Amino acid sequence: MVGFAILVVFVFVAAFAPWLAPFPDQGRGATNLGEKLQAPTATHILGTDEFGRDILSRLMFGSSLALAVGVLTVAIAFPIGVVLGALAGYVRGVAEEVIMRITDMFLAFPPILLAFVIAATLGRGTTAVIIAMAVSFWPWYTRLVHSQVLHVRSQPFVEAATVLGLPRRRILVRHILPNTLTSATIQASMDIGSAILIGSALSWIGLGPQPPTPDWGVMFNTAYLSGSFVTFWWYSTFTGLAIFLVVLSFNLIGDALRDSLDPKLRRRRLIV
Amino acid sequence: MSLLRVEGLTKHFPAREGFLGTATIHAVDDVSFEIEEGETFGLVGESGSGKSTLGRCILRIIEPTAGRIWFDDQDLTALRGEPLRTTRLRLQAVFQNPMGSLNPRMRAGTAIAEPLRVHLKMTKVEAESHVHELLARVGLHAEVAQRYPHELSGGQCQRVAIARALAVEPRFLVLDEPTSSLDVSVQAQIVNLLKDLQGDLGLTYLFITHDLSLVSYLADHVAVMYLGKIMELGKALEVLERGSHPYTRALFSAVPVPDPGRKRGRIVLPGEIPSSLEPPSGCRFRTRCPWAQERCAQEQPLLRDVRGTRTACHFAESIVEEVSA
Amino acid sequence: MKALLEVRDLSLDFETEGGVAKVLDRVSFTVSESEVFGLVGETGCGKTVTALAILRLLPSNAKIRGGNVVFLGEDLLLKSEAEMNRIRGIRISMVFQDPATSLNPVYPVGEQIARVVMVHEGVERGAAEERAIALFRRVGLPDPENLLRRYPHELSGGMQQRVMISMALACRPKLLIADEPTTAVDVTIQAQILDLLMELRREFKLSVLLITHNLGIVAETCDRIGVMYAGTMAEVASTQDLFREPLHPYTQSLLKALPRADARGHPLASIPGMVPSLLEPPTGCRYHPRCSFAMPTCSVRRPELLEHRASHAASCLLYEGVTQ
Repeated sequence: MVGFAILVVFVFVAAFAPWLAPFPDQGRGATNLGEKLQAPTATHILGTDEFGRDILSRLMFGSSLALAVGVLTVAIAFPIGVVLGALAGYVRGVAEEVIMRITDMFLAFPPILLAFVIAATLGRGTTAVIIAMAVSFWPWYTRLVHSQVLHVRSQPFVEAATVLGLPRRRILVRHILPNTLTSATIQASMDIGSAILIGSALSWIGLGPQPPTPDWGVMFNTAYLSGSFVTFWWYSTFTGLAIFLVVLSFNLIGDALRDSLDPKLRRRRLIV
Repeated sequence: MSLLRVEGLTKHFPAREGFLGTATIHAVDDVSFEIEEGETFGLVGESGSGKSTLGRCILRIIEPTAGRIWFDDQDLTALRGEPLRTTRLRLQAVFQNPMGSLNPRMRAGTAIAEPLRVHLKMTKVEAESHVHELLARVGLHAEVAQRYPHELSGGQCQRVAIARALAVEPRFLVLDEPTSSLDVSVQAQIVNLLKDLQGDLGLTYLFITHDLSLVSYLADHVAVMYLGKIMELGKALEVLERGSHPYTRALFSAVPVPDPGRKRGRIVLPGEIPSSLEPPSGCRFRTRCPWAQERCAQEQPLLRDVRGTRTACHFAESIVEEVSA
Repeated sequence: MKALLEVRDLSLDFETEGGVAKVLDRVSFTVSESEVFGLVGETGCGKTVTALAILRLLPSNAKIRGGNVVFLGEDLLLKSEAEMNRIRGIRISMVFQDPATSLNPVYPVGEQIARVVMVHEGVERGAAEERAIALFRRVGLPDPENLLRRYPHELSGGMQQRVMISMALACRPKLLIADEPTTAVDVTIQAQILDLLMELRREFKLSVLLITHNLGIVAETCDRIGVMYAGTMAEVASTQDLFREPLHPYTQSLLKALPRADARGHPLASIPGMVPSLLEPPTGCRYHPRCSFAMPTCSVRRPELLEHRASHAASCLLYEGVTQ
């Protein structure tokens, strides 16, 4: 619930940034060199960056970007991964071998490294980052869904569906998939957080969005480059805090989802 | 008039043994029998007997390795695709695990309605009234349709499973241990229900179980299986109480009877049930049979008429004499 | 017959997220020396919980509300954990339903049984292994010396159960609790296991508390039987008396519900309704909603377990002279 609350705040901020931010122009990119690198004051609650822009406004404008990156990545990776995993698990035979071996190949790389390589190849920009991450995320869903499908299809109720003469496609869609998507969905919700984190990491390296876009990763990178973390502490701290809170919220939501979805399927047994 | 006829049915599963070897599990080997319309045919055996595999072959959940299955004079084994799907409707099943045989994410009503909507192309509204009828027939309230399986008891789940099987108006029902996981009192309810339905709808049952008292109560004919083959076949009481095959006798004597007054000579079989990977040569029961002789290892006994039942044992007559003496 | 184990008015609750389940309500019975006592009942009757309560192996959300468990003159419910550790496995042993899950899959079976002997009796490994081999032989396991090195998954269900039995008897307990010891094995193996238990009981002068839902088993193996329903003890009698003249309506219905060859052609007598939830058990007699003899008083007054015939007790108001 805490996670959900945090997320709601961020979504709200993301949606209404132009109206909420104290210095909307600066949030978008207008410079204010006169006030650069100021510690937090009453007007600039979180301080200013190297261009004098209000950090709070920048963070607010950046939240929509961060969320977009996270959600879009998963929105692309999830369907691809699930469909492939379900196909492999249900159809089996050659298709299964082919799909799973390709999946294994992708899984052999650490996700961040893979995303880095792909993004570097695709060039800069937000789209490149999203695509790169989607490509490194999808195999995890495939593997998860594949093993779940194998487990579910041997259950009596799936056999019963076959005996009832139901068409294979229907069995897959109405009987097998709904019972396999739980783990995948929980994983997906937590992955949105991971995607934001990895996206920030990629931006920090220099791939992804370019200034003046208020991307949190870029901001963190700039904070790092502009001098020591200690002297201009507000810059890196508040940016890092924003990333941390969003990722935490998704993790908490994932945990809560797991708690609520799983016990219902696992009946509590009173051994009496 | 036989409704179902099984001829030489064989099912072998490949088993991976060790690094290189390929072994086979001889789950069912050359089994033949007939089931009359309207009767209850009991199939009994312990683990490894192949009774469940046989049931699955008849339902075409798994494909037999060899042999034929004739349903109403139609060759089931030759069917594929669309004709198989439509013929399926005439042979339905009820399985052992009541809650497991229902989709945990589907309400009971939806599960029962599904075959109606898929096969009979009913609309949601039409299906709903049929569902209520079916629920009433199995003794459940209409409101059960709204429940999920985990909200129902074992007995209720099994009734829902029966209702679902009846939805497509089958003529033949394979019941694979339908009451094994239920309490005695619930079992009695379900068994009574099944008998009533059989009378009302003219159903034919293949009742697979390891519970001999249940079979002696319900079945008209019985086949006793051991390690993939039929050991004895005949009228239920003839086989169970006056069986000629040593295994049948041992099995029957091993079942504890809730009657402390009855003192029966119990034949306790030595050893374990052999693995189906390498069934004993000749008669499969010989490794545990107190009367086994040389011939038993060399020649596989065929089913033949002995004192009213068909028995697969070379020495059935002499054993019977010895035991009754 | 001297009483070995006396359970008196044992009451127990389970605290669950759905509420408090009144799992046992004043359960009483006695197991004498060298006696086989059968505890029968259907799901939810509390037979397994009773066994766990005797050995103090209950989960943390179980709260004992009252009663005594007197073993050889001492109340086990008052003992400390350390004291119970000297009783479990040594004076009272237990064999569980599924041997595959009761045996540790990563240790050879010889190791598991030797450890029991070494820990409880301070014996050295060599002597412990000798004991193990002797026990394996006694329970009918073939080739005991080699069996010591085998892992549980290499053995069949019947052999695993024999290993469990030999482990339970390793330290010569006075009472063996067997919870559904043959449910997981085939009929012919079950016959072997039950025969073995009876032999061992004679030889070791054991008492056995046999828990099962199978009335056939208790008829053939037990001296006395206790029938439980929804956490209460409905009836306690000798095997002969229980089957010949069941007093409690539940026992009567249960016996009539069993399928038998001589009942062919007639519907089985089924008990209407379902086992009640223990979160909100029926008031008065817990069986009254399903009882064909129920009277108005039955929903108000809880019947006592009283001896209405010689050595034959039942908890039913019908026998307490109540007529309405």
